[in-house]
Amino acid sequence: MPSRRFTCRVCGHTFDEAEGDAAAGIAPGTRWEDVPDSWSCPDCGATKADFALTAA
Amino acid sequence: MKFVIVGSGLAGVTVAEALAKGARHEVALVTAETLGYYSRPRLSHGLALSDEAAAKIVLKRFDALPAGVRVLAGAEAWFIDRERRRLGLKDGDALDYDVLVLATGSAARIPGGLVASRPNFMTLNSLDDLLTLRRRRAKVRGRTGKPRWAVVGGGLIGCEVASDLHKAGDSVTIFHREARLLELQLTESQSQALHEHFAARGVEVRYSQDLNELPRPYDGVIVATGFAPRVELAKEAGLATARGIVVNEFLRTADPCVYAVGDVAEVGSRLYPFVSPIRSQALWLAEHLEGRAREAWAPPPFTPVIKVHDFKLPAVTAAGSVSGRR
Repeated sequence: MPSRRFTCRVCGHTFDEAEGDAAAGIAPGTRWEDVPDSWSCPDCGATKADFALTAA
Repeated sequence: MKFVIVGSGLAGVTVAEALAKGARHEVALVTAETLGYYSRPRLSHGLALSDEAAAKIVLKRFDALPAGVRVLAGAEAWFIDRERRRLGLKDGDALDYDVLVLATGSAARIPGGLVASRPNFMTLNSLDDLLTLRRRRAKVRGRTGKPRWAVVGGGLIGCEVASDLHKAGDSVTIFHREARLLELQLTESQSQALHEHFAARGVEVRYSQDLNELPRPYDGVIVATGFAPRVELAKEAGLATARGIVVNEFLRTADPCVYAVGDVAEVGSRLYPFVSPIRSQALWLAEHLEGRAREAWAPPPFTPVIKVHDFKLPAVTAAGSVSGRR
C-alpha cells in the first residue's frame, strides 16, 4: 500500500507514514490507523483528530 | 455574550472556533486578511513549493470556519471605544462587544536605516508577502535562470528563508549583524554546525554586518530582522503596552473586557511567539471566557525546532539552551 501523508489543519505540519515520527517513537512505515490517539502534532501540539489526509 | 476577535492568525482563529462551539455566543472575527487562515511559520517554506503546493498554505478558507463565526475579511480595526464597548472599523462600521480579544499578531521589524528604502526590499510576514515574493522570483528566474538573493538577518526566519531559496535553486547570501547565526537560540557549537551546513551548500553568510545599509546588487533583498507586535490599537485606546500588549496571567488587560492573545500578548514581561504556546493560550482563553478555566494560563513546555532543509541540530551541550522557531 502506498504511504499517505496527513496535514495538521492547525499549523500545516505534515505527517508522512513513510517517515513516521522518531521523536514520538512512531516508526517509519507506521499506518495512520496505528498512530495512537494520544499522539500530537510535534509542531503545535494539536491532536491527531486535527489532521486531515493530504490529497496526492 | 458578544465576542469580537481581531486577527485571524493561529490565536484569533483558535479562539473564535472554540467560542463558536455550542452556538451560545455571537462571535465576530475581524481580519485584514482576505484568503483564509494560514499558519505563519509555514511561510518561510513557501518559496521552494510548486504553485499547487503553495496554494495549500491556506489551511482553511474563511467560509470553511464554523458557521457560528462571522468573519469580516479585508476589514481593518480602527479604534476601540472602551466606554461604549465598541470596535470601530476603518470603513465606518462598528461592532459592539461584551468581550474584545486582540489577536493582532506582529509585523516585520525593520532596521531603522532601512525604513526609508521600503520599496527596495521585501519581508515575509504575511501570505501577501509570500505571494509577492513568489511572483518576483518567477519573473527573475525567467529572465536570469538563477535569482540572486540577499537575506538580511540570520535569525530563525532568515535562516529558514535562505534554506528554502537555496533548495529552490537560487543563490543566497545571508547578512547577519552578530558574529554567529541564531545567537539567541543556539549554542556556539550549534551555530557553527549551521554555518558549516550553509557553507557546504554554497550559501554565504556575512557576519557583523551593518543592517542599516541595503545590500546590493541583488535581484531581491529579503529583510528578516525580527518582529514587532501590533500594539497600536491597544495603545491608542489607552491600554498598557510594552513590546506587546501588557496582560496579566489571565491574558487580560487593565480593562476587564479586553484580552490579548498570541504574538501580541506580553504575559509577565514575556512574549510567546511560537505555535505551541500560542495555541495553548488560545484554547485556554476560550475556556476561561466561558467560565471554565479558572486557573491562570501557564505556558506549556515546548521545544520547537528550526526548519532548515536537511539540517539536524546537534545535541545541546550547554544547559538551558533551546532551539526555537517562529
